[in-house]
Amino acid sequence: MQFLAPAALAGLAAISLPVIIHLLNKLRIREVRWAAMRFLQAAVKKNQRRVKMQDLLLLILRCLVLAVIVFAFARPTFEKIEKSTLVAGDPLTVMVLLDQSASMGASDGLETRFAAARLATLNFLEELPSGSAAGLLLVNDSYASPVSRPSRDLSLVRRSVELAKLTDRGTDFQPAIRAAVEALRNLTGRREVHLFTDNQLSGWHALEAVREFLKTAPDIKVVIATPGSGPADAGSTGNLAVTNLKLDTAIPVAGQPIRVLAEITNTGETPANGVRLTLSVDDDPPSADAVISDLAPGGTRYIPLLVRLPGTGFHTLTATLPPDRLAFDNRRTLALEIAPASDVLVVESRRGPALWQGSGHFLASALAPVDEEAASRHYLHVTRTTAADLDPSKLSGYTVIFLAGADALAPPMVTALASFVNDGGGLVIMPGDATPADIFLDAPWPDLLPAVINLPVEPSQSGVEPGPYNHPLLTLWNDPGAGNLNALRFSKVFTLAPVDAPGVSTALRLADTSPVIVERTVGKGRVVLFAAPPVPSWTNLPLHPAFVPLVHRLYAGSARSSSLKLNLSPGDTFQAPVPIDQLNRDVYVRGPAADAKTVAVGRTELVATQAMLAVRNTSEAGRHAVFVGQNERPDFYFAVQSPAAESDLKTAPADILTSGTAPVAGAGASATPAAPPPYAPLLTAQQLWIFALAAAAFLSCAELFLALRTSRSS
Amino acid sequence: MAATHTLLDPDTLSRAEPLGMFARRVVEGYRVGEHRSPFNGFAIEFSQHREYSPGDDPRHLDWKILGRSDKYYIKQYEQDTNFVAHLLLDGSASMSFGSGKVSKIQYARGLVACLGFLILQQRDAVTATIFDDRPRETFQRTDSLGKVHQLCTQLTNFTPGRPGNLRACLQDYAARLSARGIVVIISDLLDDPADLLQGLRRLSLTRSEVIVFQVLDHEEVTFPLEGNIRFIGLEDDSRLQTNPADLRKSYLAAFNEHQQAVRRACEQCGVHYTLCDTSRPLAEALTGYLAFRSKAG
Repeated sequence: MQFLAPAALAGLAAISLPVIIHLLNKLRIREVRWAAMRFLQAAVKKNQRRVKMQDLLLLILRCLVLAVIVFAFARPTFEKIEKSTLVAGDPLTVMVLLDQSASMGASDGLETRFAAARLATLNFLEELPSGSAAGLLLVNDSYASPVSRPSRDLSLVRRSVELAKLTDRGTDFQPAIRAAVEALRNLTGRREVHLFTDNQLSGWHALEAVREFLKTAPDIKVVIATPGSGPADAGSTGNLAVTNLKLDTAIPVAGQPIRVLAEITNTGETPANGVRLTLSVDDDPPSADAVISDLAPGGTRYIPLLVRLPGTGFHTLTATLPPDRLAFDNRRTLALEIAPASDVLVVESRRGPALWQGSGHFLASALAPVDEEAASRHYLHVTRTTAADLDPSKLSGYTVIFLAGADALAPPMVTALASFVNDGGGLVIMPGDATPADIFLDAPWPDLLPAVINLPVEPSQSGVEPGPYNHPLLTLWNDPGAGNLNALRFSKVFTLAPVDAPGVSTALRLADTSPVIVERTVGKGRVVLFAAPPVPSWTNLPLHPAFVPLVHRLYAGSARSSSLKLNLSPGDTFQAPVPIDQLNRDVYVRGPAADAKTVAVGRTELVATQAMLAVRNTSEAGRHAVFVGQNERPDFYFAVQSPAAESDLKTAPADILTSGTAPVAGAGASATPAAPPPYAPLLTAQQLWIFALAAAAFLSCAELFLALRTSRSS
Repeated sequence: MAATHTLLDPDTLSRAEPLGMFARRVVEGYRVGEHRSPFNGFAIEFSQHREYSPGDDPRHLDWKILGRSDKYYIKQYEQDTNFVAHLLLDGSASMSFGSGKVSKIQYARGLVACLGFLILQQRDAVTATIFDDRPRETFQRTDSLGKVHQLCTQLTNFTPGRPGNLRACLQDYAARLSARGIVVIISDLLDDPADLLQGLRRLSLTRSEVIVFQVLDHEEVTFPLEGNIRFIGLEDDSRLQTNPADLRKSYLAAFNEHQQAVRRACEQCGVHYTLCDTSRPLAEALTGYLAFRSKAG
């Protein structure tokens, strides 16, 4: 048997205390003159032996209690302690890396991986040889450095480990390992980096870079410990995750059905069947649900859900799965802003005085597919005009301008349009019969257009390319339930030659691969170019069922989008403009937890000419409410979404840094058992310590019982 | 001369006075409303005959007349002399023990004084003896209430200090007892119950009524002591060091066994037994006993 803290054995001297107290009690005698001595003598004669035995037994018990307590503090162990590793030997300079990424929240039913890693870290720190120094980095997709350099104040490091919390952030081991090695590089003596983690495979995406970097510090040993990541972890028992949540409706409108797509991934090893997915708006009870069935391990499925949002402004949608072993990915929140009604301008050419004779008639009808009475209440206010009537000074009032077979525009008007786009406006160009192709050669058209417009031709194949489509404009038709574009025909098209410029992409091609829809980002705005006008003489698109949703998606894709980024990754900064009169006001945030408190995070500041608020270091996944000043209602909502890769609990082998080959994600690396932690002797010592304390408690109870029975106080 | 001087010693007188006053107060308190003596006399003299009538006690029939004349006559007596009460007070060293306000001897002195006052007040005779291993002090027979003060003085002057021998003293007293009377023994009875039994048996042969008051201290009855204690015997100077808590159970067992033996001895000899705990007021113990005796007739 060995002792981890042999100095504590000096406490055995305390055993003399009961003996001294016993002797002192014997000396403290009172004299009483007594008449009934004969009864007393009879009692003494009868009990003397028993009383002496009890006295002796009590004395032994009291000594034993002290001895066992001292024994416990000496931390006995039956297992041989590796002299070369920890307890004995030279002092160690170590950087401890504790993984606090979201995947560490996986539970085996008793404790999370993070709790196990934290406990193992504390045990490791406790067993460091005297004179050792330790630093602490908390690993996520970046790293936090509570103790950035090795310190001999191990209590500070232990305290920092105790205060460390699980985050909803992703995993990337590279930055933390680099920082740890750099912290040790210029020191002398035994230097090691100990990483306490679940060794998630996705955290090693920069494995080769890490290996190369470690070659620059060959005398620094890196040890990976995976406490709590046994074979019976969450990965092998099943984990269903909401890995994405996105809108599938072009223009979300208050009170109208909104289609939301929830991406559900089965990262466990058992099929998911009959699992209920719910979707709730803001803090309300779920308003939509769906049942997921037959989702194979590793499989992903998009679940469409329909909800209605109660009004304009900021809202959040939260998809929720039933609880499983990994809690963080059972919920995902999407924040969105429902804008009020927008103004849209359709510039057309007219063959007669009636509106239906305009080339933009089908387009205008699709943008606001309601009668005249309801048009004023529609969320898109459509204004129709001709190129001649266009007023360049009024363009900024519109979100999107459609040139639907319009006549040639005057150069000042084109300049105004360029300015409109650069400021964030959307421009959709549909050249037609009245639009000569050569006008687009003049400046500033080439800087605006995503493609060079050549003369119209009759295409060799009038149909469009079959799906699936990757461009957001057309992904709706990847769902067979939404119809398809097979019947779409173009009898005549302008020949488009996409320009070689950044931000240019082709959304749709004809079956002969000639582009039909090309878009380009210009300044803060976007320009979409169609190869044909929305008139039946060119294409049957205006008569096709896909026309209305396509037009709305076209509008949504090119509309002057809000600069607000409402859906963030953990660690991102939320920024939003506020009215100038709210400058220097306090900014408060309430997190997503049910018992979250509203906390001040700073003040609104002036950035350039705009008053802005900023919420930095967002970490907790879910809905965050932002208040400016003393406002009772939140001014903004934003959502923090954990990286989907964290849901994949596949682990890398413990010797990943030294083995020759890099593991392939999804190649079943999770089955690789984690290497046994090198701290087994320490755990044994801890267990014996507990047993010794239990024995002390038992002996104390026995002593108390005997003392009460013989009426002696301790 | 010396004795007289001692008796008239102002200090002694002043110490005896409270005892006499106490006895008077207790007895007067008991006598209020009472007209019949609790102690019935034995020394009676023939007065006259009368014819028997149904309901008369047949023990009082005059058998001689019945034998001679075959007629039923009842003998009637009249009380002309008082009975003699013999008050025997244990003055052994063990009686000096006391854990509370009063020691056993103080309690017993009060009891003797009260009984003496009471009996003298009803014009009966009293004699008192204080003994340990042999009779030490004797208060001569008197029927004068005025001698109560002398009785109190003698009781007060006595200081216990020697070991007792109850059997020898009782047997000796019984041998000297010339006529029937009432013998009142006041002692802690911590001697061997067998000795008590022999003494009582000898006394009962005198056909006197024997009454025993056992005076015990509360600590002797309950043995509540704690801590390490060195006990020193009051009569034999023996020493014993122990923790009473260890022995409480055994002590109480031995004590209760002794008490049962004492009661048994009293029952066997037809002796009326009364236990007096010094923690109870004397008046309460005495009036309780006298009330019981009055009812018993």
